[in-house]
Amino acid sequence: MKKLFVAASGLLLILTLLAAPLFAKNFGAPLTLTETTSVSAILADPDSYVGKTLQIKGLVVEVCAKRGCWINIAGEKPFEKLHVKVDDGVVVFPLTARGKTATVEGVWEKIVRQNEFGFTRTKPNLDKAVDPASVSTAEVFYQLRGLGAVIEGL
Amino acid sequence: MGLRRVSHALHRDIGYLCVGLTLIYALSGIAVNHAADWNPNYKVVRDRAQIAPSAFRGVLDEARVLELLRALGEPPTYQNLFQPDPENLWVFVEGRVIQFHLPSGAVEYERAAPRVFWHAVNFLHLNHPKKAWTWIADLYAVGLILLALTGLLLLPRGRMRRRCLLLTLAGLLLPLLPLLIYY
Repeated sequence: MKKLFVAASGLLLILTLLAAPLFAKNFGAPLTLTETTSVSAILADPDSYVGKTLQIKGLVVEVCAKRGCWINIAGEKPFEKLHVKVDDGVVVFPLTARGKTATVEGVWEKIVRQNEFGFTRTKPNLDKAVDPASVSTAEVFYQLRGLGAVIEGL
Repeated sequence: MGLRRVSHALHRDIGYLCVGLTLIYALSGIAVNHAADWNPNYKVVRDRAQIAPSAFRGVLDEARVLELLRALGEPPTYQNLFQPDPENLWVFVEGRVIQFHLPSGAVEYERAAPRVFWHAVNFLHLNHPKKAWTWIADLYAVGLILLALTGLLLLPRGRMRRRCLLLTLAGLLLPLLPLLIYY
């Protein structure tokens, strides 16, 4: 009995130590796509990519400081960045990812902001879903719903 | 061996086996409960500096970036840079971000360093390793269930029994009351 507990404790310790560093640079689901889409191309025509699974690569310029639940990736053209949102707690990006290069896969989303009554700020909508085409651009934003990422140099 | 003796043996051995994980989960639990008040994983150190304002607006070339770094007394090297708009420049240098605001000359440094102990315990508590750690965490949860159940089977006889039953009832009400109030 005593030997069994010693062996179990040893195994637990080894697994604990092994489990930590092996997966530190990969976040979420493994990457599956082989082709990368340019951030600038997506931002130039965001509607044409909605619903598609994309892989992007670029410089991580901002990380959610509270929960690591989003990052912003710089585009190829000046002043551009793309928002990547991941499920809270499922993927957590470290603050040290800033300034590193990330490859991220996810689904490109178009979000229409609504309040709890289904209203946008300018177009009340009592009984049906908001038609994104009828909403001003201030109430629409785009993001990559991140599924997995690899960050180099972490 | 009677049920009481088996419960006692299980309670004792599982309890010892769970000591390490209980401390990790409890300490990390306190840390992440207060994530609104502090960053439980990283220590963010900020500093400010001032350089001469610049009238330049637009995409900065290499020479201008190095000039800005020199004005701060920084070595003329960097890993990456980004301009969020024509008035601001972010330079990524060895784990730091240096943010220049050209019109005012204001500079903000920011360094994020992992809190060695807290980062490690939160890493395990929030199951960031996944894979094998998921199984260990599940086994730990089963261990806690067994601890609770075997604990109930160890209720003492005599005068202490009433007191222990009251404590058990209080322990069961503790999560129920907030559910009734807040849920």
